[in-house]
Amino acid sequence: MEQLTLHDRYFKERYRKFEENLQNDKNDALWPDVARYIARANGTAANPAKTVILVQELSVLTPGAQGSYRPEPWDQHVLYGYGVKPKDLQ
Amino acid sequence: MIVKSLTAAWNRFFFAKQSPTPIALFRIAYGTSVIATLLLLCPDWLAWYGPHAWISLPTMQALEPGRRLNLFTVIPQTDAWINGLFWAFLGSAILLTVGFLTRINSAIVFLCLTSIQQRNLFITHGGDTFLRVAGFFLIFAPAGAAFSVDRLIRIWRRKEGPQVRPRSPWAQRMIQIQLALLYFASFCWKLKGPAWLQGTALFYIDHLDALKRFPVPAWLLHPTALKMGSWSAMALEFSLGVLIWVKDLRYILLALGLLFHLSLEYSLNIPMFQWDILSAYILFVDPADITRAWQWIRCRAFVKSRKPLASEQL
Repeated sequence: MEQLTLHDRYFKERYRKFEENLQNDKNDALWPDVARYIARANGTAANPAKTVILVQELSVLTPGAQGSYRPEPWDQHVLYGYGVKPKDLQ
Repeated sequence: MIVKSLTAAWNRFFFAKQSPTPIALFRIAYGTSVIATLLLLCPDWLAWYGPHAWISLPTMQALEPGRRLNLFTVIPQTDAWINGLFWAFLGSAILLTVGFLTRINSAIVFLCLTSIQQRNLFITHGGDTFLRVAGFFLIFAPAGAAFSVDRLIRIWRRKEGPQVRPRSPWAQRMIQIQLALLYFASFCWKLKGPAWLQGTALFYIDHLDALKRFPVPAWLLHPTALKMGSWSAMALEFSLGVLIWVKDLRYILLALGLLFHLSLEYSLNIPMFQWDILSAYILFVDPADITRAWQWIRCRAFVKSRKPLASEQL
């Protein structure tokens, strides 16, 4: 989102909301569908996607003195891995 | 005696006839919000709701079992049908906004709005939910009784005179109660969050880069200002949920609420949320004040457009 223009961010905000919900373990039932969508969007007939891995990246916000902000290093962990089946690409 | 006066107050509040101009203006603002929401979604209609969407229809049905008002479960799952549904939805929202076949179109808009939310609950925000609930009550409101094509047609057919007939405002009251509940629930949720109670919540919100929009003045990011801002937001949400019913405080609170939402619209990228909520503010304005404001605008427009008379030139 941060890399989009103001105009595009306004149109694509639903993706931020969706990604926020995806990171919640309670919504893990969504992950296979999302993996299949990514496989379809990024594969071609000649070079189909074989595996999709959803990776969560996070950095904790730590307030400093006088309202300053100390960014913690980015952490990442695998949320979900999916082996793509041929029928997923149809 | 108390029961009798309570019943009388209840009947006065929900059923004492009043001018339908606030609900008619709300219809225009509401329809505009729905149109804007649909246009913002337009490039991704199929990505979110199509046959090969991010979330499939069977997954969504498994997560939300039971009978649902969801047109996507009854129409064929093809790109053409999904696009057709959205264009029909958009057309209906435009007709609702101009007030043509108002009741039918408000029912269609509600049905479509409910359907797209049931089809994908994971991309909706509070403003969408408010539109859906308000849309239900709008079906029963006299929303086409003023500022509408329906009214022009009735006047043209001599079924109605120049005066707008007073109507029962119960449906308008239900939308007002819904808005007040929204603020009060938001206040109650914030009470559960330590960051809001400690006054640090706005610090975190300000540093969520994905949500940022336009830059905020540096002095507003000082810890004291952020604390005051966090607590003021809670106080305002409580007031808009509870004190809004006190007539003497109403316009002050509406003005503060307007400032609050405009500042959020400036600083945070949450498309349409502020406008969805602000659209219902008009329902709290006294119909007599709307009439006065309309007459003032007409007078000024008339004075500006009119050429001075010879007697006035002297």
